Amino acid sequence: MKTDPIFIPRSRIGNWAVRYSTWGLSGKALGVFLLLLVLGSLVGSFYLNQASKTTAAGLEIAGLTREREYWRQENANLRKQIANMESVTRIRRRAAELGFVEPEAVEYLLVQCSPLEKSSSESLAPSPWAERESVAPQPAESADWWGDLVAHFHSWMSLQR
Amino acid sequence: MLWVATVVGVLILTGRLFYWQVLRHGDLQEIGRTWQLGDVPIPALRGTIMDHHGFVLAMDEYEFEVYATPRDIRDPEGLAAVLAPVLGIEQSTLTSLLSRTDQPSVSLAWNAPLEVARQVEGIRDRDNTAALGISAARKRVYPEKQLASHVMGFVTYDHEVDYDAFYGIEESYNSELRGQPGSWGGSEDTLDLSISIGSSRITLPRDGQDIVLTLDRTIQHLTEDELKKTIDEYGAERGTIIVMDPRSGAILAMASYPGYDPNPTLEHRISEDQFFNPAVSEAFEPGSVFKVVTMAAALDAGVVGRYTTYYDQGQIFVGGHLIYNWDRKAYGTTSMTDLLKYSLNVGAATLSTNLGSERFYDYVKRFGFGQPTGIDLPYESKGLMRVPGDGSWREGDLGTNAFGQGIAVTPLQMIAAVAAVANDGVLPKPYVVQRIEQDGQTIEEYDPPPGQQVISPWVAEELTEMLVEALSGKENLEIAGYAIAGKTGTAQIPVAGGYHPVDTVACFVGYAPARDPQFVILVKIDKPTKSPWGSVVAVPAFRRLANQLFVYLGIPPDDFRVAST
Repeated sequence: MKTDPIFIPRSRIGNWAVRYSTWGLSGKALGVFLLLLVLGSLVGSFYLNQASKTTAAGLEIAGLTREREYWRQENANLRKQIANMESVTRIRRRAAELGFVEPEAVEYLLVQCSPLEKSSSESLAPSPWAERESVAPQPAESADWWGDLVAHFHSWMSLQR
Repeated sequence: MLWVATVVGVLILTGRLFYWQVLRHGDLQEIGRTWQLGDVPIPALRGTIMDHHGFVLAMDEYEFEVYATPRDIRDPEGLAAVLAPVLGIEQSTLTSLLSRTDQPSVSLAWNAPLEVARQVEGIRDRDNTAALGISAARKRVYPEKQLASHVMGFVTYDHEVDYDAFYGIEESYNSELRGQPGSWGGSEDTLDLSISIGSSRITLPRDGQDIVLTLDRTIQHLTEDELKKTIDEYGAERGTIIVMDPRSGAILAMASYPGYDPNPTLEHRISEDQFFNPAVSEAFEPGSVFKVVTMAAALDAGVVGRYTTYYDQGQIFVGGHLIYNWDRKAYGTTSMTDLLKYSLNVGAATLSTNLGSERFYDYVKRFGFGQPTGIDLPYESKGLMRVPGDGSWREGDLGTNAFGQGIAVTPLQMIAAVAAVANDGVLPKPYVVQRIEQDGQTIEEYDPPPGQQVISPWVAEELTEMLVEALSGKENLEIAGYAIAGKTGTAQIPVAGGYHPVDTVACFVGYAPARDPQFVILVKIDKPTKSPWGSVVAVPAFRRLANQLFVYLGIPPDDFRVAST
């Protein structure tokens, strides 16, 4: 077999990895460079994307903060207007303009056997006399005792029959 | 040679670079940040102060500074024509302000309301001019104006973030009301105008806590009306009325005249003396209203009973000091109730001397005199009380102190002491703040501590009956259907070398309904000119106010209350 010192099999000529570029770089180095370039571009675009999103979010937050301040100011203004409208001096003046007069006395009516009597009496502060009254004999209690006794007697009588 | 010079040059350069880049890195970064980044403060709103029912007594509102940067204005006259009707400034004045290109910025309005600020914003956005700026600041507003001014105090803003609070609730609860200001940090250009893009730091402000008082603004209003009416009617100089719930010590109203409008104004200056709250800061000689304390002490110590009598000779010597009755009359055999009814100084001095100085002053201290009540308001006076052992105490003081002379108490101490009698002998601790809220949620509720039992409940009840009986028949105090317990007082005013020959303090302290006390009222009128007497000047004010409170608080007459229980 003839041996040529510069013989290179065709199959190997076809392999790009061993070819030399016109700038003197090997194909492998070029590949690494391109890979880094792609990776760098990816990282860069990711960073830019995030940075723009952050900036956009920052702008939105700033806008919302501005809006929040706007509504705080409107709210404070409304609260002040309400407070001025509710002012006791203004209400008194307005009431007088409308013909209202201040009550000088109130007449209380004691309604006997009112269903509300119990609850209304409970809502009042206990009188210092209340305790003394509770110590006094209770006719209602004795009536209950007699009623119970009569009821027992009747039931006993009915059993006897 | 060249080589050496190069090496030296490189070393120097490297050294300088190391110095600036490494050693001074932190400083320079900070300087750069300071120049480039600016913090715009976002003020926190100071908490609102409300009455017991939630009506606003003090709140923050915004006011705005409108400013312009004249160098950015192309048509000052045109802009002035648009702004003049909005700001309410003459067009020529505005034109001259907007033409001052030698100034980086000019202020057009200091305290513009929100409506004006919004209109200016509209003009700025419509004309797309960066020459107009609006800066928000806060202002304290008191919608009820003079109402309860001594309790409220006031706040001064300096149009920046910071401010000072003086007197009243504003001062004593400043840390709760203040809040935490926020800031808005970001990049700025050379004109200190904010650059929207780039890094920014936003700290949101935290508004101050809201305070709900025990004061009822309606009762406060009625009280101030009554005080002013009485002072006008009797030609008095000043006065104080306090309304308290004896069961808890809650102050329902605290009014002093003259008051002041705490809303900031440059129109008139207010004397600093007017800022102090006389109800808590000013001591006076109480006069005969103090006999309630003397009688309570004598009854509780068992020195006398309700039906005990003494012989009134019209004068008594105590420690070499001759004491007379107010009318210089002798009343003969007199009951304890009549002692109160006729307000006899000799009787009061008899009680204190029978008690002895140790027991008498022990009771006086127990009733809270000579020490602050501990109310949550600033500058409370403890009064002035000489006791045995002090260098200044004389034996004669035992006699004069018994009827409220030679002892100085604050109106608050006096009403608290009488409230103890109304409250079954338990001395209440007065307070004005009911609760503290944040964003509508209660974060602290004041629960009045159990007061000290200064006299027995039985003695308190007996004394109440005596006070009711002593006042019976006083036509100017009568309110149909309601029993009232109380005591009048007419005190002379001490001056250098003795007492003023004419000026008095007319006073009345009472509670109602006497057998189920819902309120205690102290009326103190200084230097009335039409009449010197407490029974003439202070009593009608009490009656009118009590009558209104019966209606407002819905307190039924005594017979109805007893019948319904």
